[in-house]
Amino acid sequence: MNPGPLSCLILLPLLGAVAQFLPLRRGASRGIAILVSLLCLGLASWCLFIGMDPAVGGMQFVERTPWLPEFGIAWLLGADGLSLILLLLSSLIFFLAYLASWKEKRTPRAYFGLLLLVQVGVHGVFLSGDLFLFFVFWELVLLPMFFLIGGWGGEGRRSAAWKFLLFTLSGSVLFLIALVILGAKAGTFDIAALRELVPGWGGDPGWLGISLPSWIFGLLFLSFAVKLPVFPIHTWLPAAHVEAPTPVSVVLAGVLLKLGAYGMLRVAFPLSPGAFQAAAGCLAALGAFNVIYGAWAAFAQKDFKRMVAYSSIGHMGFFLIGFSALSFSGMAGAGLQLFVHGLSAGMLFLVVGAIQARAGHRHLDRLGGLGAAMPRLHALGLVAIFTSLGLPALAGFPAEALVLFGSWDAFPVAVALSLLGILLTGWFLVGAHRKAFTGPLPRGIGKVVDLGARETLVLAIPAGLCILLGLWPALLLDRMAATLELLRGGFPPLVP
Amino acid sequence: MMESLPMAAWVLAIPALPAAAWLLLVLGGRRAAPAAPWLATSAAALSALAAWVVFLERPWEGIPGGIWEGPWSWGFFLSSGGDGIAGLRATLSLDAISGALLPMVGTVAFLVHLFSVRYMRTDPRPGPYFAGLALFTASMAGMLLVENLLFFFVFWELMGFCSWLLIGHDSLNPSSPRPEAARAARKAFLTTRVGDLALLLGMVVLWKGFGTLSFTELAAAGGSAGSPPWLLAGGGLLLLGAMGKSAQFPLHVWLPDAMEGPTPVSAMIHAATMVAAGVILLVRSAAFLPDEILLAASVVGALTAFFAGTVALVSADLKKVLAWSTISQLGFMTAAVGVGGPGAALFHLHTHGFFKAGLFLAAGSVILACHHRQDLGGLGGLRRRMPMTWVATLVCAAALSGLPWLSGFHSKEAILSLALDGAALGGLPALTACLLFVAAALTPVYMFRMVFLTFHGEARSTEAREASEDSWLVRLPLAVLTVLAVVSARFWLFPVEEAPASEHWAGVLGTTLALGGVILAGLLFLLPVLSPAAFARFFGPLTGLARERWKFDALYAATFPPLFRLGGRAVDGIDSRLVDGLAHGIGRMAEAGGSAFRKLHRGRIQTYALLTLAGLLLLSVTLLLQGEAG
Repeated sequence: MNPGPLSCLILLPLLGAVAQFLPLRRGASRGIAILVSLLCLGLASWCLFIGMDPAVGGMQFVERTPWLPEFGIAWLLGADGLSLILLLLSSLIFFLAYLASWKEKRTPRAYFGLLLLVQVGVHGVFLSGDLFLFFVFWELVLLPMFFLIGGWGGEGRRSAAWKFLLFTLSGSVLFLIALVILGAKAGTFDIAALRELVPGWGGDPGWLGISLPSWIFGLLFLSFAVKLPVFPIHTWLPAAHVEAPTPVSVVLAGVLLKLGAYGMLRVAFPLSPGAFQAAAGCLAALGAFNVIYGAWAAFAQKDFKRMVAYSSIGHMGFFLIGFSALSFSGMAGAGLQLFVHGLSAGMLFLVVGAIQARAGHRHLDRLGGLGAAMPRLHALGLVAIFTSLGLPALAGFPAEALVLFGSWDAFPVAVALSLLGILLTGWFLVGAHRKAFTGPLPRGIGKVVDLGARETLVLAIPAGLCILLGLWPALLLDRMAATLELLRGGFPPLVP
Repeated sequence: MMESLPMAAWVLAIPALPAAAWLLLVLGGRRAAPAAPWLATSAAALSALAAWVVFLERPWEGIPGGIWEGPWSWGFFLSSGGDGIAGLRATLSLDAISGALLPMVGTVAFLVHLFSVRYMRTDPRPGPYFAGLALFTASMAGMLLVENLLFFFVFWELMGFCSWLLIGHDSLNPSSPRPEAARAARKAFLTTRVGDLALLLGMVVLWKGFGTLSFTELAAAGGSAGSPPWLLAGGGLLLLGAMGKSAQFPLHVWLPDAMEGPTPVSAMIHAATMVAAGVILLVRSAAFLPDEILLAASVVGALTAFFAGTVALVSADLKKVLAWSTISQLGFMTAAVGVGGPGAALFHLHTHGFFKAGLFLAAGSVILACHHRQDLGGLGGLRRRMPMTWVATLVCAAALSGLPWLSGFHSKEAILSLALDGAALGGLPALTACLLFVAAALTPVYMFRMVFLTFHGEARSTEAREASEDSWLVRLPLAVLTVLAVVSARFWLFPVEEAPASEHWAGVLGTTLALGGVILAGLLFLLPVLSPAAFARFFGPLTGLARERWKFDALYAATFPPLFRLGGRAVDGIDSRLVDGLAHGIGRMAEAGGSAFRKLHRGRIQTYALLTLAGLLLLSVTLLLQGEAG
């Protein structure tokens, strides 16, 4: 068969992972990984900015090869504005993660191989048009990530890895049940076909008085909510993000959380629009609760990395609020928030990683003076911090503003409450800046060297993007507009 | 539109040149640091020049609607189309308000840059300092050149960021970092951010109500809207935003602490940029704000003007006196919008910009000469040693006090006469007028107390005895600002509301109060006729209250941070004990169930693999059955 660009996006990292089995010289592992991710980045950018037609909302670059036709399973790939934007994000984040892993000494072949496998899974999820394929890629992410946290993590890596595995596995089981039901009833796994079929099952008496589409919605939502994550099934996140090595934390926050969001907007919500709409109010409330809860939990943290980890929970809450509002602005804000959070959280983890590498720890009360000692880290850290707290002219603001403006009609209370979360986020991030960067250098920290060229590059790329998107969010929003309209057309409006 | 391209270039240059300087300095990093002072200063100079050209050309005149628009427009969220907020387009636009204020902003910003070249000569981080100053200038100019509240907000927030950065500048000094500066910066950022988020919510409410955020369209729609609850809410939130930015009671606490920043930065924040934003927002919104909100603005402004004046009277620090006087004068401007005088508010903003910048730079000159001594108790007698600085301070203080023939007299008189006009209504407007007149009487007392304690009498420290004037970089800005403090009322072009009935009386009363205040200050602090200590005793506990800033800082410090910290600890406790504990409990239960498997397979990965396999098997079987049934 003649693989199209989307297959290449999956096969390239797979080839890279397989290549790690070859007897490689030192340094070749990372070279392969960086090369592969650069190719993916170029291909994803080409697809998004040149290859795709922004006026078309539906799937483009579709590739369909029968795989297990007797079960209705196909190698069906397709991409629209939303998936290509997330693909751009993930190929960028993986590139940065490989670059940040430059000095990985502990069995680099296994390390880069596993990370490449994660990339295969992530790209596969974003590109699958077949739910079975989606599930396979979804599961593929799990194990390599488990080994990466458990094998290369910090002191509490074992329990963190297990926690990650058990939580996401529980989610997978729910996904699997839904998959069995869908496959058995529909006889196909084509997501587009399922979108036509499943809403028609509303007349089905279902089980326990709940209709079948509602069951499917519930199961799928819960399984994706673990990844997003949503309170109260989020506690794997602080553990995993904190214990993972820096580049893996970057991938976790930058890409893996987006899998949950993508699953919701691609599968869980469109398959059962009725159930989604009935639950929209609850989802927005849950989102607002997450915004405040995550920010407040982060507020109490003394460990800089843990603080950043909790802030992710808050930021992902905006996705729920914005998407549930079902207005164009709200959904656009939610979509942009996914991309922006990938950049800002990734950058914050890189900043923390750079601090830890120099100070030997990341306890905020025992840090200080790094701004004067490391002006480059400070300047780039400022971009990360202020993107994260939503300063206008940086990318966080257009995303959050669109969510706030777009959701006011449907959920005014959630919008008003989420402002408290923004205030708290500003508070703890500016507070963390004060503790880590200002004042005198504590005695325990000796001579500190500023970021080297490679470290600077790893932070400067996302920082530049944060500024660019803050001034010109249309760059990405133009690309997803048609897709959002099409997606929104699948749901009758919440507010007439 | 082609013929207006040169004008467009001039207008664009006002924000674009400092922004370009910022970009160069940021990208240049350490290599650009030696060039930083002059690069930023020349950008500011050219930007000020462009502002004056635009001011003299007045391109907005003769255009219907009075708004000149640049030939470019730019889709922010979507490059074309889009409805709702996503369809918003940004344009460069210029009206009488921006045209009237830009020369003041540009001139003051340039002089602050020039002064900083000398003041920050020994600073180890000139790059970040001048980059921050340049971005500050660009943001202020940008804020004046947009016509839409959302983009106004973008620059508004950027200024908040710049003040945070510059107030905290000294906390990042590699050799002698000052942690207090970081604390003050955080306080400024968070206090104003409370107002900013209120404004953000207010914008959402107004957007829902009016369907637009363009100032012109809002003004057109607002007149007939009456005051429905949503407009009251939106307007109230907007007022809260302005109160945060313009340091109005009860969100004023950040501005005195912001004195931790380098003195030229204080001049920048107090005269040309940051705090002006709140007043400009109110002026631009005055046309659609309901009467209730305007009344609230007048009361808040008058209360602030009075309250800050009392604190300025007892401040023991040169810069703190000036900080409290700014809060008081901003109170005048806020109240002016409330009593129906947005033009008067802008007029006072304009004149105040020049003489307050003059006062701060003069204070900077004193601080420089006295090796960073700024407590009034340690100064004194500087008149002979620093005549230039003395004259500048004297003239600017007189202008601020509203003495006749100086710029401050005209602008303050405009506000007082409007307040007096409204006082006939009784009730709250009368209270507003009373408070404003008392505040106007306090102004000369605290200003001349500062002048006399700093420049007259005996030098009270070795630093003050050995002080001397500094280089031309210090004296030139002082000289220019002194002249402008006298004449700036002459080149004001925005119409100021008139209150013919009260104009005369307000002028007479204002002048009497101002002269009386100067005389009182002279009797207290220049000639040993009255005893300040006896005066303080006479007012008893009130003096103590004023010294403690009416206890608001203590009240906030005792409530908000502990409350938020408590909330944080509670959430953290719930998260780690309850939520995570529950997950662990379930996990243990599952583990107990799964231990049989584990014994069989010696490891849990196999369990997982088995589980997945079993699932897939189940799936296949179901599908097969399904296929057979079909």
